Amino acid sequence: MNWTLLGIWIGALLTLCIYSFLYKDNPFYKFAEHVYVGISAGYLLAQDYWVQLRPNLFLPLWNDYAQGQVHFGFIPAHWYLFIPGILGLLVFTIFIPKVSWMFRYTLAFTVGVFSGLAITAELSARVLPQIGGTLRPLLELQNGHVSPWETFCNLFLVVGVLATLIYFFFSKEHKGFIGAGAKLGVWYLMVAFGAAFGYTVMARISLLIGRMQFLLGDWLHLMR
Amino acid sequence: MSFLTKALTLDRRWIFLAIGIVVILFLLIPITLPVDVTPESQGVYDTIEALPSGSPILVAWDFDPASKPELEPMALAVIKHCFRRNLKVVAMGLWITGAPLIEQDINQVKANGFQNKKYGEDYVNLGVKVGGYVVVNTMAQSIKDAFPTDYFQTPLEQLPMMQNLKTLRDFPVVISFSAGDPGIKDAWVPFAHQRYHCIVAGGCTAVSVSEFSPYLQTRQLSGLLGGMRGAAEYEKLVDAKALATKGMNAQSFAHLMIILFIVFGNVAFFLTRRKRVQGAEGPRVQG
Repeated sequence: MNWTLLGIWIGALLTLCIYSFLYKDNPFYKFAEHVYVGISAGYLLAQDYWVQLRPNLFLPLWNDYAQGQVHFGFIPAHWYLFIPGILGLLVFTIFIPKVSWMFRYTLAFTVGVFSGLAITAELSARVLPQIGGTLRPLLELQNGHVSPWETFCNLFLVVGVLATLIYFFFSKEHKGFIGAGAKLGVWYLMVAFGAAFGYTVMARISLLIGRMQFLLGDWLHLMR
Repeated sequence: MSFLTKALTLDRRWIFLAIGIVVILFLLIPITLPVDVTPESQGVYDTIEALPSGSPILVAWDFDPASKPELEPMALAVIKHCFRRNLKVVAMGLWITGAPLIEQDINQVKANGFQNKKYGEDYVNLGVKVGGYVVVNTMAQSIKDAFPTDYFQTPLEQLPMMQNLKTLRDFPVVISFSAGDPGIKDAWVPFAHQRYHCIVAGGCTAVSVSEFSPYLQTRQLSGLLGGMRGAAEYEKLVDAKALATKGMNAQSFAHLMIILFIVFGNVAFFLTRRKRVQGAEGPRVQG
């Protein structure tokens, strides 16, 4: 049996089922949607076992016992792996109301580790370099001469940042100078939203093209 | 009801159909529109080109099948470039649902002119590890701690290529194809670049381009391939035109179609509004 061919046919038919939603909601779409959700959940569970639990927890402990690498006859050499293992199991206490408070230990550990790593990274990689990137020279010199284009770009950037910040400054009524700045900030925001929307359209069309390349190429062999 | 009023109440399914027809048509018609290379894409190419032959390079597949049409063509082109430059590719991913894509893509490139590349000597597939920046941080201490085995469950110490690659710091360049988080923004730039001083470049979906662009200006990213267009540019740079280049024809004409719809919709809206306003004012004027 040609499993690749079978896979292509299943993929093609499920794609058509999903696209049928563009006409209107129907049982074929519902079927494909449920298949997708079910397979995704099963796939994630299997991957979690093979990628996370087996190599990082089960195998090292199993090998310790199998190779006799134990202290006092029963404590494995990788004994510290029990800590994340137990923390992982504590997540399931959420289903037992009487002991569900134990879940908070796992949550606290995760939040603590991730915040400790993320706060410093956020400051050093995002906040400070981006502030530094905004502090541009208002007269850009190239070979001792003023570069008009670079100077304009720098001014455009600095004015844009200030105007957008003014728009989000709500402690003073948007009138007079503040009002004009806020209005300019709105224009900058609109241009940013436009650019983001343009890229979103491009991304969505790319996904359609990807599926069409699959249907016309792999399935129907119409593409050269 | 006038034509313009009818157009404004047009069933959106006609627009879906029109876009679908345009995409199918321009995928089947064998024309190739010119693709200009932007400095951002050139930056990725130059970063790889600057590495001496035999250097290690870490390539991360940080996406899943949902972003395959945009990110897979750039991954294929970059791997082709790395193999051509005889770089030692260490492949990995941070997205659990993207695990099989790494092996599939490398095998596809190997089958097209790089059959001599040997697993364990020229490239290694570490597989996928979930945890985002925690994984990157662990790799900075020890790759073996983050990936005790490769994708095929082989211990890393049994792979010749990994003998001298112990930590993230052993890689001068990291390339990430990022569909979101975890990826370039929250894992590779803050840790691999900012903390461990690796050069970071990569590619992202078109949706993320405006979000990632500030990192180019601050040189935290040395280059960025944006969506299918970025992939097509890279295919041009490595002279290996493939799916992204073909897709860009359909992309360009679909965009043209959307622009026409937007212009027509706005013209129709303003013309009918004028009529509506005149109609509303009419009786008042007469009265």
